[in-house]
Amino acid sequence: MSLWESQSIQFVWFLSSNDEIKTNDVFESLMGEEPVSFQRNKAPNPANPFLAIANGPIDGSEATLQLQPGRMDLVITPSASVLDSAEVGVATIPTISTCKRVLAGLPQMALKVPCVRLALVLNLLKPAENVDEARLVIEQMISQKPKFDDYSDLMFQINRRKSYPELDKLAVNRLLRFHVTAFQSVMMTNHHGAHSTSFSRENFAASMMVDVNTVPDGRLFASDDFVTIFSTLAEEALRIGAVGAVSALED
Amino acid sequence: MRTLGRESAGYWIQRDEAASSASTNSSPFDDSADQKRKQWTIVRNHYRSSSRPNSLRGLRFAALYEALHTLGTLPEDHQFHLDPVVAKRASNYLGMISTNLDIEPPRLFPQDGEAAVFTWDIGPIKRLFTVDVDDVDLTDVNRNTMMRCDHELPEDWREQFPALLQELGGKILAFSSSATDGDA
Repeated sequence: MSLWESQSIQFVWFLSSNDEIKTNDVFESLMGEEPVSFQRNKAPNPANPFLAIANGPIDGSEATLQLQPGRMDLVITPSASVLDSAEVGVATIPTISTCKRVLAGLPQMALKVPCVRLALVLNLLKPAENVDEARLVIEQMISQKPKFDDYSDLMFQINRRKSYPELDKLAVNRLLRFHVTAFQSVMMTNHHGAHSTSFSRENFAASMMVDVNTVPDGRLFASDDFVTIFSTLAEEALRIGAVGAVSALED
Repeated sequence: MRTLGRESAGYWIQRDEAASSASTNSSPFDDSADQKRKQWTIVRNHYRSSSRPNSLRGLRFAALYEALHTLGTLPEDHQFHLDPVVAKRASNYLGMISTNLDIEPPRLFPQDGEAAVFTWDIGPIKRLFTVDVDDVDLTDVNRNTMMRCDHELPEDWREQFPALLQELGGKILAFSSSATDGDA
């Protein structure tokens, strides 16, 4: 299987402390460009759990750096203009080049807080004509096919840890999740008080999430470790994504 | 286009006001010109909600962060006042607990304004994790016998973190990094 494009790519730093993290500075040092928008929130709450969000366009995609207690997420998604375009049903970003773009920025990253875990999540997508086609793709990937066809809500998840002797026996969770994703777009006319007309459209895709994350074992990762560990995580995630099946965990 | 709102459930709503008075009966999904499509409000499940905690567990942790911040802003003579430095420190420990251990959110109470105490009920055992301005304590109390067990925690953070992982979580470590999962 060839590596699919991604619905989103997520790099996660699980922080030992949220003190003295300047999210906009981290964004600029990592992505090489200033964020277009930046918000701070002194008191995270269930409706807005973020301490800070920095956001900006990057190479035709959109990068969002979100700071929450205990974690900082960099999420790369298709740009807002693509997402909100009526023509696009399932929008994706290139997987390999996006990973490389972030990895290249890590040596300059202005994050000095030690991290307790690091993670990389690829949300890979293959658009399908309909739900049956997407389901068939998933059945092949997980090598499972029921004797009946009239079922729905297929989801399969599996995790297998891998130990890296070259990283002082660092253990990495390799969590795979296969499922069918449905995207719904609803559009309404902008009439005030008049009869409005609405249209909806559904798009389907086969989805494979590859979540490679280090197992917390008490060690703390300094900024010097980020390049080595994220490169290892990316190499493994891309390999698994290219295999595109549960058998990728055999290695 | 102007953004009208981004709901917590993850929907994105846009409207082009300049074209809102125009009228058409064609579908926005037809291959018509952009000018025609600007008359539509688009509601789409957007992609940026993947790192937002939406599990009950995640929301309960978020409520605890909010509570800690609120306690830290109360006046010193308030019965629930908490030293703001302690509130911030406790938030950091709570973040570490929520993202690395697959355990339930604790309960919280301030102790004399100088410490934040997280508690868990584990059968007959009440576990108390106390964070003050420069120290932490972990104690188990058997509510039936009132016997206490104090866990020894190193003072140095680099040694303390592995000990905390072991004492608080044991083998119940997070295996996912998604904020939308049940263990997020």
